[in-house]
Amino acid sequence: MYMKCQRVMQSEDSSSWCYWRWRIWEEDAYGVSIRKEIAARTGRDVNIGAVYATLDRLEGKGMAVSMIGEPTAERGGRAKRLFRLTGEGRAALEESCRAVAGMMKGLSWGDA
Amino acid sequence: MRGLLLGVLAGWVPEHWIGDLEEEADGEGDWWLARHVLVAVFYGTRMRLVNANLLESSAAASLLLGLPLVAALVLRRHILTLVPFRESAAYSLAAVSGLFVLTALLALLLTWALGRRWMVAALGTGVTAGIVLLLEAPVVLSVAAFAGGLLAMIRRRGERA
Repeated sequence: MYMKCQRVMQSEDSSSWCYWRWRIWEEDAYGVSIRKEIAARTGRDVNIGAVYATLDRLEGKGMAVSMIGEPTAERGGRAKRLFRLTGEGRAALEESCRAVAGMMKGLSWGDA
Repeated sequence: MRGLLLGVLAGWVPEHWIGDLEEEADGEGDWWLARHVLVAVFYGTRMRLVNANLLESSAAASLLLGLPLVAALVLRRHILTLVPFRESAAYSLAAVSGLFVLTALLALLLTWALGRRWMVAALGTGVTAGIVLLLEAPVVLSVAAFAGGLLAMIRRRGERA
């Protein structure tokens, strides 16, 4: 699915809605892993509060589900909150990929 | 230092936020952590307001709107000495304009902080305005005078230029 999404988007814009949804669908992601991914790909240092605000909105819309993981020592004995995309979220992801691909179609990046 | 900074968040934001910051703080400096803790407090406050019920949100809105007004009450005399062009004929109109601008800015800020809950922000604004008007009308006038005076000053500077 990621490859498909990558192909239709023809870019890996990690700031996009599409990317976020892929990221939390592919694996049990949590705040740090998502934050690091965004920072690595965009160079933006996003606050953890902003990440969870977005994830909470996705969960509120039924596009993601979360669960509390096991506490670990490196986190001071605190648990992770793991996120995963739902079927509805997956459908929305595909729709958004199609929309982006449609908007990109025919665009030229020539000498402007 | 790290414990102190993370301690600020304890009880204010969810535990997994603090765990995430502690996990990442290993590779970062105190400045990075301080910056992220500060912004996380902001997001935590916003989250609390959004999740609060109508009464709690309205109380929070009233408090946030009331704080600058109470500060104005305490600093009233000092503020009035800062008002430029008190003798200006345009003062009254400018003061009213200033009050509208100030209230609109505060209400917009609150509405954003409350997750665009317009009704809650409007209720909080109304309650605060009502209480302040009943108890201490000069406070409102002081704030209005200061904002209005600033507007008048900016306009005069514009005219000179």
